[in-house]
Amino acid sequence: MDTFYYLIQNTLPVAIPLLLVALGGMFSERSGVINIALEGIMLVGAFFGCLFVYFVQSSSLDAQSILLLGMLVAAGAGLLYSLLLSLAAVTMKADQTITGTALNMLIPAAILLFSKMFFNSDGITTNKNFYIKEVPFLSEVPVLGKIFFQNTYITVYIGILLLVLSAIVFYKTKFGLRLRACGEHPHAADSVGINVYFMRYAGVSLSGILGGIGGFFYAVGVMNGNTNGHTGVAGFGFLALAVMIFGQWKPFKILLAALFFAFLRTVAYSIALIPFLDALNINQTYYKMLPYLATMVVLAFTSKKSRAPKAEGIPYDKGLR
Amino acid sequence: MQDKMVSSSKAIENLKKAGKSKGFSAFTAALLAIILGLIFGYLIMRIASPANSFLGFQMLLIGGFKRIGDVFYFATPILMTGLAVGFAFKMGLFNIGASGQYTMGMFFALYVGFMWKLPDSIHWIVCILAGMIGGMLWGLIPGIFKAFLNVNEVITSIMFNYIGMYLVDMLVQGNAAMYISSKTRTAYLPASAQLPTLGIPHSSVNISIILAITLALILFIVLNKTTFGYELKATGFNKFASAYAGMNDKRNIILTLVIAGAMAGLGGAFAILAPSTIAGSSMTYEPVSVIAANGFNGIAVALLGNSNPIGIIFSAVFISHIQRGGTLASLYGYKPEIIDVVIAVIIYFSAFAMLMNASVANLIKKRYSKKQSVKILPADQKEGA
Repeated sequence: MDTFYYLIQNTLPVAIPLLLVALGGMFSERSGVINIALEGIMLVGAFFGCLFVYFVQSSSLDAQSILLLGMLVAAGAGLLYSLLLSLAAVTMKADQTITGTALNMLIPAAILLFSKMFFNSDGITTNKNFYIKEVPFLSEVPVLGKIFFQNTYITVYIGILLLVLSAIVFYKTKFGLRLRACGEHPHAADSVGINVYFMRYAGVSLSGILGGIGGFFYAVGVMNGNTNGHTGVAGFGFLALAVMIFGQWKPFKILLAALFFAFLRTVAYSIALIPFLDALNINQTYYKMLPYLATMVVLAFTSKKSRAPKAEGIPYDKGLR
Repeated sequence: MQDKMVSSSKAIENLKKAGKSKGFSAFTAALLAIILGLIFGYLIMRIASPANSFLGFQMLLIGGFKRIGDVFYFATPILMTGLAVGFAFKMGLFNIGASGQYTMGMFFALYVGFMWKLPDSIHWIVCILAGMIGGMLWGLIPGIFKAFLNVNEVITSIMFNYIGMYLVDMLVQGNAAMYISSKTRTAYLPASAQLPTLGIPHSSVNISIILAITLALILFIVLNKTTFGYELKATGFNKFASAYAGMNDKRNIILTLVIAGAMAGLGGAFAILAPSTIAGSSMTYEPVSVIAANGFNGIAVALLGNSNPIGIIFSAVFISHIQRGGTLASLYGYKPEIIDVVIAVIIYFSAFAMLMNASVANLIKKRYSKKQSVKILPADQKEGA
């Protein structure tokens, strides 16, 4: 049973970055812009968040407030970086996949350059401990206390809050409805007076904010508050895209998909603690491949009836019909 | 006098024609992207260390000429991955999986190099072919997923980049004949598996650059002179129209990605089988769980070359050239990562360079026609008088 709790407690901090970034991708794609730059946006968020932590870690602020402030910094950085994508893909009508790839290539190189120049290392190492051993009172609750309120990070609660907020914005506001219209049929949306360019900027910017936060939460929850240019975010941005497709571009399905992938990954990295898997004596690399292989299997079964936004990937041009 | 006028007006006419042609505008677009990227690089150097920035930038630009052999040596793999990306682009497929195909090709070549005992004269040829097959395999999978299961090839090939990387690292580390665990790298390949050198001193440049250029030319012919190439481009323009015209898009998707994979796989084989400048050694591979960078540089090469095989030859040499320059700029204290930043910025701009190019061209045309009308009028009046 302890192994079970251990796996769940470790799954959540991994699932939250995937969830947030996939939600970001959802906003962007439902507005009609393919955001393959999520990997780069995550790394931007992780880098600037960690940079912020690095500079304030010796001050008297307590760890959780630093984390919250770092989150805001990461969100801002992600937003700014995503503007580069909207500028090229919405205003300049460039190919969205190519622009995204360029942004993905730019940031690891920039981080390596910056870190080598100023820190003489490959990235940023912080020594602040964000880990929460147990939340007072709540951790005493049977079962749920062990799952949610022991050995965890504050990122888990923020992530769930952002999920609920996203779902409300997406389904219960005028803005959400208009955003979705722009991804399905931008010309129809335009004909009833919706500014398609603005909505697409908004969609990409939301994905920048969520992607930046997700990246910082990855650095906190998975990398222990560190970030570096070589490994980056280890393909989490791309995995998040797969999570988004698996979740059929819908918030709560995305949550389930994120939990599924995070669980597989956690299992892969904690084989030694699971007696019956350890006894099989399979090379650990197979388990590391598992999340990627599972993505492929899942996509193979879900893509046929894919509910992808109809207008995604096509730059909106008023003059076309 | 009049003759001159006629010939010059003809020249202008020709220039206008050339200016309107697609290849020319692609060339100027690439040039524009390169210039913007380089300006950005200079600004970074300027910020990093203003004192040496001019010398450093000069080295970045012309340093490659001092290492001409190396420029071609390092151009070979990215030329191949560039072809892998560019060829698929022609069909509207974004083969971001060149990294995985490259890694698989490299592993297959390594495997044959170490494990098969063959006569010296054909050993390296078989190694190259093995590399090609490895790449094909890793191109086939996204092809099948795309053609039969409607899975976006971008996601598939990204996933297979990771799967390939982990798989190869595991297989290399598990093979005692290949891997020296104390040095965390592969052992030296036997000399018979290494490619014949071109004999330029202090450089590993070898026969593979000639093979790569030949392959680029073959792909150019396939694309422009064969039915398959025509179908491929037609499907790239409008897959519904081409399906309606009776083209088998499923077969073409798979075939395209297999050929693309073969190119990237050859790139990996060429890279690992290159002869070393130090006698008795060879190129080695370190399994460090990092996606092969040459695959992503291939994307840059393909975009800069406008996915045209001939353009890709030049863009590969150019990128290799500034990479060498960037390495040499470290003499002035600059980090070679500057080049990676510059390349990324070049791709970013090249994504909308065509559009920028058109607006710049319009601006020039407006200016030019204004000036011309101002200048020509008095000249005419003179002649009339």
